[in-house]
Amino acid sequence: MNLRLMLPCAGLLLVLLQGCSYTSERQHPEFDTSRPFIERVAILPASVSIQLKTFTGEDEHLEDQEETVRQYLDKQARSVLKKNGYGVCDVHFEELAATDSELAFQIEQLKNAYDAASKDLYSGETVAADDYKRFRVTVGPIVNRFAELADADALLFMEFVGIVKSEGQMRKEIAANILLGALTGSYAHPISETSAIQVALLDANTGEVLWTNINSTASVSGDVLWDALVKIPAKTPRASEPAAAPEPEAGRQDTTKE
Amino acid sequence: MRYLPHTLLTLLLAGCASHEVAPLTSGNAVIGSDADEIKIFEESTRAHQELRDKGLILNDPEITAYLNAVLERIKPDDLPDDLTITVAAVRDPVVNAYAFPDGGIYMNIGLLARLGNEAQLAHITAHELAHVVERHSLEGYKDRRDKIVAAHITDLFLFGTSIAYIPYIASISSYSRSQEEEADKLAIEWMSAAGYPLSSAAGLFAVLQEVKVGEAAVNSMYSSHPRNSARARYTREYIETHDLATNPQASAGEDTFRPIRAALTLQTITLQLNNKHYELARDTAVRALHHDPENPWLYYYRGEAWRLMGDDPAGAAREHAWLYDKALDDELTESMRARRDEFYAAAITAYETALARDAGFAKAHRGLGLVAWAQGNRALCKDQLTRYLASPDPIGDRRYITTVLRKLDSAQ
Repeated sequence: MNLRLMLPCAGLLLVLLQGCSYTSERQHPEFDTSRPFIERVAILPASVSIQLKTFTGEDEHLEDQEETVRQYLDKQARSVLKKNGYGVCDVHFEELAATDSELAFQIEQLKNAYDAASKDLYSGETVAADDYKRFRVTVGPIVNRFAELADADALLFMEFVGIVKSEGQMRKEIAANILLGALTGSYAHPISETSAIQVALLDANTGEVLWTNINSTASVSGDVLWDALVKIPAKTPRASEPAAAPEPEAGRQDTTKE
Repeated sequence: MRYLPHTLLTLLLAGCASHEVAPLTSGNAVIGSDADEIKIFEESTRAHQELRDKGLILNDPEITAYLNAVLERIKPDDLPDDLTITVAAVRDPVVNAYAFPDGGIYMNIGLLARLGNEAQLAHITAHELAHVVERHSLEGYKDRRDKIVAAHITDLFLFGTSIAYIPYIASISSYSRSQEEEADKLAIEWMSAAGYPLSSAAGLFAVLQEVKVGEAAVNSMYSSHPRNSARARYTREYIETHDLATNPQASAGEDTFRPIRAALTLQTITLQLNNKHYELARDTAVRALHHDPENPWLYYYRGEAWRLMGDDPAGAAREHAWLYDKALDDELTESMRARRDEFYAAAITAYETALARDAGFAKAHRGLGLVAWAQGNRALCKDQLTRYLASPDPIGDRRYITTVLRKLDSAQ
């Protein structure tokens, strides 16, 4: 999904979901049967964008914060996947891409392919909690290179977007809301920062989106991932194997906020 | 309260004041002497780094050398020595080119694949170079900042209704119309001095006129059709009213440009397909077939576009709605779904034509196998995909094809 659209869409969806039996999750109809065969998941480098919105319009990327969140998301994702019974590949595509521009390009293309595919997942319609296992969406064979490199059965894709407002921007919004409040009789304090995440598990052989979820929060923190990813269906044993003991409960890591 | 309209008007006009910046060829321009210029240079460096980190800069020494040779030919002599200007191709299928204020010129391969000859490439290069030389980014940066601050203050007086942003938003296209016109005129002068035939300008604007609305970068000069016809008109008038050598006998460089376009066309199509832009991919293949009718890859990709439309009618409907500014509704999606057999039939024809051009073209077997898979013809699917996997060529999607074959076996 386009980053600019992701925040309002995630926010709107979550508002719609409150108090209703709707879900932000989407699942492939065959994921329940293919899940026992997913032994190893490789985590793709999270796409992270955190923008400081300023009064003068000179918006800028908060690169240090982006890197902190990127690392935090990777840790959180490993923790949640292990907790849910999935093996996590010990491969760091970002490090490989630093010296392999072709791999870096393929990471970018996979993100583009996912953005195009996700339009079928989050097209604005609400999805009932008992009707989310019907989404057949694929990013195509572009996943194969990553599967080969990591010897993975599935790939975890994460896209994070955050917005922080500068003090000047906040003062302006507060003043505007006070003036508006004088007319309408009600005052709403503007939100100073917000973030949203989309997380998806992709079949590393076919590129099919097996499961995906989105979440948003009124802060810029990697914690937004936890509530989205913790709902990923746990790995189930194959018909012939006994159920594996779950990993010890993995708590949230320290917040990334400084 | 009666002074409010006057105050608002004053604020809005305050944001309309324009900054004059001396061009780099003026003799008294000092690069990087202005804090704003240093800031936009830093942003340029960051943006270049991001393009490089994402692998988006085309790593093809031959093509890069060619683009820079064209730049050297049209570059004026009176540029400051401390300004380094280079051209790079960007692996982006969107029809666009842009220049950073520090002298980096970037040409998307989607634009390069559309051009007809070297003269058209030189024209685009000269146009982007003119933005650098005239320091249009710095001028625009200063103007935009004033406009957004004025819009914020005006917005307060309008109780945060955001109405004040409408004139601001209308004015923030990367370059103003007058800047684009200035760049077009300088480009024509440099083209003339470099010995390119100026008749190529008409051809370039005709090419840009054919670009679909959604195909080019938003707000770029490559996306605005009425402006492109106006540009063609004033460029023609400029040539007629100025004492410029039109170089009618000079070569437009079709032969030198052909291999560059051929190499970039195939890459453009793969990126278009990756972005689910099936119709655009098909258009690119069809255009290229006019120049290269024996190339099996072009038939293969045309087949891929048809096949994927059959596999993904919702995506095909979405693209159609986007390209032609239509409503995306169930009716449109259903109409695409109803045409699946037609799409698959067109795909089969394209793959078979690729094989007729080159009997050993293994990718065509992949396409035929995947169409057979979609149509439930298991025997044909297995036969074609097995042939594809037996090819001595490197197979990047072996896992994908093997999974299809495994599903085929388990379904029997």
